[in-house]
Amino acid sequence: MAAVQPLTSTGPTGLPRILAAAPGPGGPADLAAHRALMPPPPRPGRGANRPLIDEVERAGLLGRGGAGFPTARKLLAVASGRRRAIVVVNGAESEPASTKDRLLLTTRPHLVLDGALAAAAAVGADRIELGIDTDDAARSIETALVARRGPERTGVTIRIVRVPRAYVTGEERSLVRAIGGGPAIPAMGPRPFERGVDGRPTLVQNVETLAHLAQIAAFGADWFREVGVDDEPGSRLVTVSGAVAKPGVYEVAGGTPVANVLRAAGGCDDDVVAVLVGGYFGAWIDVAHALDVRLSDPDLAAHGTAFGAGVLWFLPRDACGLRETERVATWFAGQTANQCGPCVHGLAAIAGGLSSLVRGGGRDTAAQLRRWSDDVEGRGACRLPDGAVRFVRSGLKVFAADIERHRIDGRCDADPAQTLLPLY
Amino acid sequence: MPVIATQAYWFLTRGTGAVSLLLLTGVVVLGITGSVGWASSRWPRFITQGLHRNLSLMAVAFLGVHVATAVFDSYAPIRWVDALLPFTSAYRPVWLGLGAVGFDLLLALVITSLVRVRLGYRSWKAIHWLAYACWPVAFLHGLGTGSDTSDPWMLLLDAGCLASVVGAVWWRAYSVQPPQALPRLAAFGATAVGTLGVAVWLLAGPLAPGWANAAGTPAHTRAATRADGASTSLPENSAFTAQASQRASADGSVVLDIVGTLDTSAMPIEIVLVGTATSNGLSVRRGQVSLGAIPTKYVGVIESLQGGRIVARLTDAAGAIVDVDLTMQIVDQAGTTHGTVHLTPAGSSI
Amino acid sequence: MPHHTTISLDPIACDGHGLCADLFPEMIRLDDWGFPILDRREVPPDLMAHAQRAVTACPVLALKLQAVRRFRPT
Repeated sequence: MAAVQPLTSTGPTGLPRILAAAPGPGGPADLAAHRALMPPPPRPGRGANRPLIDEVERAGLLGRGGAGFPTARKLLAVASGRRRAIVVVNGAESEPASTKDRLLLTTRPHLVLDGALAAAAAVGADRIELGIDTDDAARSIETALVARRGPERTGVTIRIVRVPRAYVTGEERSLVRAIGGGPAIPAMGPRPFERGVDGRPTLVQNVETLAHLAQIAAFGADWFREVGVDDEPGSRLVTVSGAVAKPGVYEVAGGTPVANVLRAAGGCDDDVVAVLVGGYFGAWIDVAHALDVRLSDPDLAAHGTAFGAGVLWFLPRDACGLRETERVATWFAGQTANQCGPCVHGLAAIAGGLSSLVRGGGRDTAAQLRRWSDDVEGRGACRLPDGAVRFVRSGLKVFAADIERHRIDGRCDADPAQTLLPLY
Repeated sequence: MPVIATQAYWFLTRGTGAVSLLLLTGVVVLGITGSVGWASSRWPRFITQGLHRNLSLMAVAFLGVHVATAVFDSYAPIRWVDALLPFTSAYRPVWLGLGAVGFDLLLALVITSLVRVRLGYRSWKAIHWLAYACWPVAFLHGLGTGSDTSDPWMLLLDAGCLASVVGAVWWRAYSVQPPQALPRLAAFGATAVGTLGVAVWLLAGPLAPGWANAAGTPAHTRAATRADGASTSLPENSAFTAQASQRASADGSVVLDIVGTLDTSAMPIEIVLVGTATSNGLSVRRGQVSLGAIPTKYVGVIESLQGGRIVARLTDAAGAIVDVDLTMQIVDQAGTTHGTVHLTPAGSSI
Repeated sequence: MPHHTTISLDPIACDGHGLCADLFPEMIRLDDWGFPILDRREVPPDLMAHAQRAVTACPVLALKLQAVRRFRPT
């Protein structure tokens, strides 16, 4: 069994961590500049690297792709498969309001690759597949791989697979199918950790999670836990936009209150009416409650949401939350893979109900939408319908006043042509 | 052979064949109704599904009887193997073969449906497309070999079944969602060509004179055909074993009764010779040969007798004629007789 | 091993034929678009036959009976 390498290197103090280093003189692909910050990852061997998995376990790293699943448990599950494991880097950033994974792929490609190799070492994989959904990210990784060919050969097969940009692409089994040459749509059957790419146990891991994994492998669990809180250790990336002066990707400590992020991004409490926490897979929280919420899953669960892919979107006071909710609901309906009846029909009906609310709607429409939301939840092969109804339910709750306003006047004060939330 | 009058078998074969066609038509229409997804408040989908399933099982049962009676019946020389192995039959090989193909397909459809859960949906579905081949094959079998094809009521039944299936296939093609031109064209083309083809073929084939011959009915079977279609099949050649007994008639003549059965079909054979006793045997004046049992009994007067060879022309009640050429020999004192018959159908007399 | 049985659905395979809800309305109802909503609780033993009928009736074999291990506190 391969030993975890001695933890002699010291990581950056405080924040930022994974966004710490500016690219070296050779650009993001400058391997020497990257190596000045951290040692190479442990070499993947034939078997699992249990000390490394234990280290991740002690670090308490949670997945940063949306589900927030403990990374060590996933590593262990894949490592205990009978066949040789495969690592899939989930670079399908399906959340339209999130840009953090793309940022990492384009500006910290070596950190992501170190993370993928550390993951391969942890589970004993000899193959890494990168599912990438944008051209610039693919180019960046390609250049970084070329830079590694001479100095850091690992014997691991690494391949970039271009995948379509769609919400369902990021789902584990979709990605596994796409990498196997199939359509990037969800499937039923065994989970990838049991039977994934080529039927082998497959670790599907988000880009940001791997960046943290690289640093845990290099600097240790204790270092990782120096930042953050017990139920949300370490740092995490947040894509901040909306009613802020400096939108962008921020690295914050786990458990940071929303208000701190708003201020760091140059926003003002008074300009905001509601916050979309967790992205389109998250929920609206009205500003009175949102600002005190800490970015940790237990805290967010109390508000019916999760941090998901790490999005904070601040709805400005002069915008119409109902209309934005309707726009996203319509987008959700268009993202269905056309496989599961409740998703295909339910999301279309819900989007239709919301646009009728925008036009004035009927008194019963909101109640109907709640009923449909309850009916649709949990009935898809993937979590797309669940995310959609969570988002819609929170909108119906937070924007009740707007709904009433639209019902009476058929409009509101916001500019009807205004579109704020990003969609693709 | 179970003891049932030969004609009963033949009637059962024809009856179960016609009922099976009706059942299969119902199964196809119900199957399509189910896959189209039609239902109403008074006719829920599980009724369609249950009927589809039960009628198909019933069709298998009826076809079991259809096959068994066809085999038991001695008119047409059909063996068990002919019912399962297509195109091996001596009797109307092509048209009987289609029946075997249809039966095999139906068995495949029913068995795979019974183990559907084990088989998995995809494989089951792929096999189930064969239903669209099973029905036409069964239909052609009925037209090609059915004894009643030219009867008006049977033609009406055939036309009704064909119209039902064609209509259902169109319904299926037009209900494909989203609407697609290909299934519609395919359904329209296949049914139009099929129906037209069947109509032309029917007029030129089964409904035209001489079909039995063209269809491949063995000559001796055709000869044995009775007006009502029920008949006993005659072998072409057969050995026979008989018992000879001699008695004196009232007028002083000697009557030699040779009574036995054909070895191949256990058909009764009886030869009666009348003559006068001479020093070295019997001088035959006249004689008669009969073959079979009522109601299918061939009887005729001996035309020539030379040594052990007898030639006679036999006729049955319906007028079918068969020429008999037989050779026999009494082998022992007890009167045991061995011989061979050679039978040649010679048309019919009306 | 003590276990109980639940009904489960493959939502991708399901075409919303709706036979299951006709045959087993005690635990399966249809949504507004004709797709089944399953009661996720244990199938009571006296309803097992109905559940089995619904499972075998599904035209696309999307429905299954699933034995779930009952965990007893130790």
